[in-house]
Amino acid sequence: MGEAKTALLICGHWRESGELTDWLLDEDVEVHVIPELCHHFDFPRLLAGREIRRLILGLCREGSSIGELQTQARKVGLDPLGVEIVSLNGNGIERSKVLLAGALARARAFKGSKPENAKLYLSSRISRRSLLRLSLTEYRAVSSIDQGICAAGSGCSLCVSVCPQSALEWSDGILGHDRSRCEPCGLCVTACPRGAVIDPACTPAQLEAQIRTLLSVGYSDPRGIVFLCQQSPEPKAASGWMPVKLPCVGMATPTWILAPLLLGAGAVAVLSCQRSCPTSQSRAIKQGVAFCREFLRLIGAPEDLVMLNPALEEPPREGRGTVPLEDPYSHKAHANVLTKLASEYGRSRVILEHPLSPVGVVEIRDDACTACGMCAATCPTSALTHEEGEEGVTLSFDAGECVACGLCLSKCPERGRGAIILHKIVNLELLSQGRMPVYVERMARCIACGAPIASAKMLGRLEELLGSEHAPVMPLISSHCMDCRVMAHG
Amino acid sequence: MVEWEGEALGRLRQGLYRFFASSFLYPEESRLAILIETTRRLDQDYLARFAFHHSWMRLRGAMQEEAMVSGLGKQYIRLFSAGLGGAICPPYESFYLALPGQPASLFALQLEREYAGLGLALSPDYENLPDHVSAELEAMAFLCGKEAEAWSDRACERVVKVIEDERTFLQRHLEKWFFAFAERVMEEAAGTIYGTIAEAADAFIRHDLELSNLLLREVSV
Repeated sequence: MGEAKTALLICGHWRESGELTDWLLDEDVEVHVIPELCHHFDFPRLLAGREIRRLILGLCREGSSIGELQTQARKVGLDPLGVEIVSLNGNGIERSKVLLAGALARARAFKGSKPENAKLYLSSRISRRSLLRLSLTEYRAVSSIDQGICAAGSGCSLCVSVCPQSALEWSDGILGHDRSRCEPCGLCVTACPRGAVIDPACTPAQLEAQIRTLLSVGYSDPRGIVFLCQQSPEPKAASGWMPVKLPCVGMATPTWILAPLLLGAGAVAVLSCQRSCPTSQSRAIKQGVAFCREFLRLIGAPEDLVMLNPALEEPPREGRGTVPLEDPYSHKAHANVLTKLASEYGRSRVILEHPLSPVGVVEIRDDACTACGMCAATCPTSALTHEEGEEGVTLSFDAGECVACGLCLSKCPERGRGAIILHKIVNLELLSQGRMPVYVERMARCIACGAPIASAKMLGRLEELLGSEHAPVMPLISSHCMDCRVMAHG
Repeated sequence: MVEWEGEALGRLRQGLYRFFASSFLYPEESRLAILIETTRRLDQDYLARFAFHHSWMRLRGAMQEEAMVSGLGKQYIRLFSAGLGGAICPPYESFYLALPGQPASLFALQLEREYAGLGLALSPDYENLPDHVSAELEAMAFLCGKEAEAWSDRACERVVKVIEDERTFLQRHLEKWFFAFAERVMEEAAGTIYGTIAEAADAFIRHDLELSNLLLREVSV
């Protein structure tokens, strides 16, 4: 038997704990039942000297001290943000096995955190009197930005616009992150079209691993996925509903909600905190679910495959099986999830315009566009590209890459004349069409050296803007490149 | 629930600031012996409550390796004191913050005034300028000691006042330059004890800034 890398600790108070000790015949996992684990996280002695890399706790009591757990995890050299806790209270043995297997998969997909991901919290506000006895610190995972991937340099500030705490700031192409304001809601993570914002405790790989396992480990009942907030108590639900916790449900994009239906889920429930939502996401969550239901209706699937705040007393319906799908929770997966789901119901031609559409279509109006390329330069997903060739300037668009962020629109110098129109729309035919030229314009070339000057449209627009007062300079600008202009003028 | 006495927290932070202050001074044999002993003696269980524990444990491990702590004098001189303007990682605030043409002595004067305001004066035996990293860290150690005393006296108003002083000093000085200095040391001395010290000090000071901000923000009157 090899050295164990993952430890699964079960509280001995849980009446079914004895059933679990021989359950996982995986030599990479060791299972221990510890008496009173819910009251004392006294596991460092047990794990001392072992090469444990990942830890999962099965607890039968809610309200354990996270701070204390994190302290004990550090003592055995573990990253506390990667420790998974499963609430076993009220669960039977079969369901508990599925939940623990899901947590195990999620823990294994944890890639570690950076110091900036751990934010310090006190348990509650403290009075000056109680300050004399400080209590309870714990750390929660907050996101960090991979500056090497971040598109702030080309003008992207989508994460800034969604942050409910104003913890992010864009300034001169640099993204600033004020950790003191940041709360672990994850909205910036899914707003980023490049996957540059990372919450190490809730990565796309972790979610995928957990959901795939929850839906595939042996279990007799049909299964559904319940998305709920990290801080929410687990709801009372029929046994087939499997909880997946997110920092805030508001971070779940429509395709995050729909993806489990392709992974074998019979239905998906989204539980929002409603009026008590600390990040005021209730309306956005409602709209996101509405988008999912409308999309389901259009592809001929029952709308109630996705539900907002259902009672969960009824078990979910039987799923349709698993569809091969790579990285369904990646920032690039929107088009793939929508197309595959529609295909499952035999649809390939669906059009849905919706403010929360995760994909979009950009329309270029050739009577106003000057082919300057600003839209392509700022497009964070390269859905729009700008190429200069012998024939001229070509703007191309791939609907499958577009995330309907609208940056192209905001940066277009001719937006006032309607050069770009963004349709927040799912058009399945366009999603699978690939890259297509959307605007081709002749390039004016230098009569002296042949180098490109600008598109003919841009020169025309320049002439229009300069007006008659500066008209004499136009022939020179239109005929010579920058280098040759100096010589021609001199 | 994790609970701690404020006094113990103050003493721990005092000890850590003092440790880091001393570790950025020339590694004389006796000083080095004390530093190694300190890493052994500090309460590891208590330290495990904090997120900087990981980098501290790495430093503790390195301090117990003889190969890591031998020949430190040469490393120290190369990194921190190889003649005027010649150190790779100058350990002075003025190096990082002085505007072009602004003399380093201005920083020294300003800091001496601030130290005096806190009730501190540089010892005549102290061989560095007042804006040396060890002096600033020692000032923080002094404040944490005062905080621990206030906790011990159960004097709430004094506790808050000292934490405010700590935060002010951190924000005015160490926050503005220490992380750039530490980054330099981590780059230039990667894999050596000084790289490890810089990493641990960086993690601790960042955490301390967050802790003082949090305490002052959360404490209601």
